[in-house]
Amino acid sequence: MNDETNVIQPPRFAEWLLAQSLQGADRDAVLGDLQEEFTTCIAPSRGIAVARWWYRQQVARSLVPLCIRAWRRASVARASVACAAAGLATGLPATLLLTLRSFVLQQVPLKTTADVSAAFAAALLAIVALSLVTGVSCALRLLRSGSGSVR
Amino acid sequence: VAKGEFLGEFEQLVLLALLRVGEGAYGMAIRREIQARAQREVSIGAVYATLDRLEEKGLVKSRIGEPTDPRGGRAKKCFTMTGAGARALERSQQAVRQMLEGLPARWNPAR
Repeated sequence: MNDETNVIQPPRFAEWLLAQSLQGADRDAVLGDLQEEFTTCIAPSRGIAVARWWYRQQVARSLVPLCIRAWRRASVARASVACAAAGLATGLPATLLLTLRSFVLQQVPLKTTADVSAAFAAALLAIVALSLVTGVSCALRLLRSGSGSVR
Repeated sequence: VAKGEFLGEFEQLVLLALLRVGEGAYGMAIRREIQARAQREVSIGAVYATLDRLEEKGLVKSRIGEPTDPRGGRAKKCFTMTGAGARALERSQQAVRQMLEGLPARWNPAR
């Protein structure tokens, strides 16, 4: 793969995120449509930066209708489990970290609260973001596993 | 006519775009047509979610095309309207025309 080919690839994370809400022929259809528009229309005429922005915007705006569709196609029980999985995967690590933070702040009186807080806030944000992505990904997989085809 | 037999506004736009694009209509072509003619910025996900719903109702049918290089080796999904789809669209358009009948020209440009 040469450099030029690498440059005009769609944003990988956005592509991965969208792929999580789709499967089979629908995944190929939606991702293929976006890639075709990205590489043959938007990037050549408006530049790669705009094309990447357009792609991310399309993914962000597509997730809601696709998830609603997946939710409607899934059984209520499976949809509830998916919701609970996403909530747990996000909330549990965040709660544990907050508890740990409170505990450590009590044990380190010499450190200023601001110093420790900044470090923990950064760690907390990173873990919550990671948990959120994992949780949403698990939920989407659960939803689509019961829906046959999530389009 | 039962409530479920009428089409929503976006469903009508998708079916009309499908008619306009004609043979080989696929998601992105339908999205482009709606954007160009209705000046409405829509996401590809909204188009596919609607097409999926219409297919479930039996108003459109799909077939999988050949994978191509610009699509990253992914296959295209092409859609065509069924007879039931054409009847549902006609019914919905007829309902709008009847509602407009007798209204001032501002609401009824056909007058």
